[in-house]
Amino acid sequence: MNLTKFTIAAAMLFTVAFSGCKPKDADIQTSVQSKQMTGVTVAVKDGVATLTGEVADEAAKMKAEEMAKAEKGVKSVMNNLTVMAATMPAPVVVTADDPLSNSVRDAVKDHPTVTATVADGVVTLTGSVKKADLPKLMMNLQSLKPKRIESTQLIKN
Amino acid sequence: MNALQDKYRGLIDAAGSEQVGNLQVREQDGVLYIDGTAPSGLAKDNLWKKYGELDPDFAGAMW
Repeated sequence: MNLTKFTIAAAMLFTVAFSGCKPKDADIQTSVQSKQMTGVTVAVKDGVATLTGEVADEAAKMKAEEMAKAEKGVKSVMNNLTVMAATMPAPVVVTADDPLSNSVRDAVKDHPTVTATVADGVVTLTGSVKKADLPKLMMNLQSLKPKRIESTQLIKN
Repeated sequence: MNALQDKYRGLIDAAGSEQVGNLQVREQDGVLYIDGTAPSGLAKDNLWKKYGELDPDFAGAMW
């Protein structure tokens, strides 16, 4: 009888002592959370860390999981993170040929030796220009937002 | 990093350090477009100067 009691007491003591060594869920959670990047929320229950939130890319998602796994006391990780949809840059807006032709004509009128033609947004320059005048001419033409400027035929002297 | 952006890396970096607003670096149909709003005329001139160093014939990218 007495022996049984003792065994139970010892078992209880052991349990208490054992759980005292084990990191508590709340502590693990705080620790994992502090190491995570912005946007990641950590919840820990029974040693299982659940990650929720949105991260920039797949690599960040994997990294968050690795970091959580590395934490002492984490038995497993539920990675419920989502990856943000990649935002495509807006396409470049090219000025339509008609308004472009008009403004190109204006831009080159101070350079009588330069001839400019416009087709499909491409401004082709022929003739000749003084090297010193080239930056200003190109700056003016680029500001009109052509697709590109073809100036390989233009003689720079 | 592709060849065009490599070639103009100096310009793109300069645009960053000149604090160009709404800086957009895009490549479309083999043309590199660098758009943004320079904080001052001087900053804009500096960037054009930088561009001129990288591409003396002004044959390539646009601003």
